[in-house]
Amino acid sequence: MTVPETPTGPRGDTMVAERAAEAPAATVPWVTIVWDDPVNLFSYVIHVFESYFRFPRERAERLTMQVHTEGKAVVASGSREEMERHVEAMHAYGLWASLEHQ
Amino acid sequence: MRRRVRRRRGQVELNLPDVEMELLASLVDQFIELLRPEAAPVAAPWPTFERPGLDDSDPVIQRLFPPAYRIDSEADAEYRRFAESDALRRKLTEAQQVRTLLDDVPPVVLDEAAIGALLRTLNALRLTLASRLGVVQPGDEAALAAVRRDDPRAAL
Repeated sequence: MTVPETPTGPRGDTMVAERAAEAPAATVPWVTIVWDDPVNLFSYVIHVFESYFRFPRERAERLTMQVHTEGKAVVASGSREEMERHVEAMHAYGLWASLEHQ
Repeated sequence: MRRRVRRRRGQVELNLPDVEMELLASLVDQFIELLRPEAAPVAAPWPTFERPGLDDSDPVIQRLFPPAYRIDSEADAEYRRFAESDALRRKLTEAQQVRTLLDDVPPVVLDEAAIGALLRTLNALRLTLASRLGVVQPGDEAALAAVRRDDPRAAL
């Protein structure tokens, strides 16, 4: 597996499932979950969602709020390899993330 | 007084007082020391060639390298086997980049890559300090807020 030197975003060939948080499709077996923690700043988590996943500001804010109020949020879904790459990037940013089989 | 952090044409200008630059440099030095494999005792008596010699019993290490698989420990071990040394190397490399720029004379101009390295390293420092203070899970911060004034943690 190749790992980019700095996790600036998904590779060009990576499809970021735009509607993952709302409705993970039954055909998409793996999800990336970000968990709430008492240290990471809201502004930082929003920045990570915007800069890594390229989410629009509004969506990044909504997901960050969901992490905080519900304790976790699904931020991406797709293949296991993709989700491992996302989790690795989230860990590089210091976010508490894991992947799960749907 | 000049602004400490100023955005300018996609770059950031860092203009911290000397004392803050020195404090940050000291924290980054300690962070680098913490992550150097030879600094941490290796749990197994034989050389673990696949895993970096990090002290897994340290809450800071647990927080900086959390499980990718929360339930399936076998899958997590397999994930760590190929991902952990890269993750460690990346954190160290970025911390060293940040440490180098803290030696510059302000204003220090950061390009996009340096901004990313600085943000991730500062965040890792926050996580490290919080873990040392026992603030890891949501709700832990309430217990910390309630510590007595003579508790050593109160100083922070």
